[in-house]
Amino acid sequence: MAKVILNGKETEFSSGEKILGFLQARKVGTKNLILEWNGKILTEKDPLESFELNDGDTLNLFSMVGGG
Amino acid sequence: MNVNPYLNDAQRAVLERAKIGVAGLGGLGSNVLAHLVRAGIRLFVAADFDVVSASNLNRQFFFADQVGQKKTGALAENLRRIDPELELDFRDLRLTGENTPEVFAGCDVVVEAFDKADAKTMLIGALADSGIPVVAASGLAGFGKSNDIRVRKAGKNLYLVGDLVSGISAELAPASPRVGIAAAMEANTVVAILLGLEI
Repeated sequence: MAKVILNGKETEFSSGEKILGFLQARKVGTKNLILEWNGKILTEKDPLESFELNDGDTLNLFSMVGGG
Repeated sequence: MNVNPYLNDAQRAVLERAKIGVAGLGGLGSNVLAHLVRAGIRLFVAADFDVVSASNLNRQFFFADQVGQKKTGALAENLRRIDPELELDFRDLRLTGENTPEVFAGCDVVVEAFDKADAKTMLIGALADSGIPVVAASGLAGFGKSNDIRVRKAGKNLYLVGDLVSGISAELAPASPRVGIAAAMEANTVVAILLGLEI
């Protein structure tokens, strides 16, 4: 089983899984989510449905919430 | 004369040359700018389309006699009372995914200082490939839990200030102490980036 480091924790995923599918399977919404994928910053406007996760990838998730 | 007499020559040279962008002139942006002006930075680009309202006075760097004025004009006036020699390019416009890269082109660092989560995400996305460091804030509503507010680095150029969970809600309003902590941490991060110091 392939593993991704999700927010610092090893997490198993199915080979070939795309970022959007990975998030949906874990009930993580993409609205106002900032993703750091192997050091690259992504938001929901990026094609998360076509980016494929690979074994050993690092994925960190941050929520943007209102207030300022 | 720099308003900050405690800078050494090398620090003064860096800060006086720096151009900082600020997206939004509310609780975060107005206070970030006051900190950065006092730190000795002089060159700013900022954008906000709003006017000062009475409900802003609980946390924003405006005064009661400025209610109804455009935030761009009112804040420029307040900052120039600290340092009359500032170069302020304050634009009365709504930032979008389309105009954001152009407005902040040439900035050394951009501060995300919006109120709404959608706008925060828009700005981070719009500048993600620009190579410009972005200092953003998420999770600063309410009172207490000061130690939950911290700075995280994401990727090469993104810095996130806040607790990432305390959004504005019916139970959680924005208030000066916690918004102020986040604004000061955003400003401190900007200066650390410019001077090459630990975040």
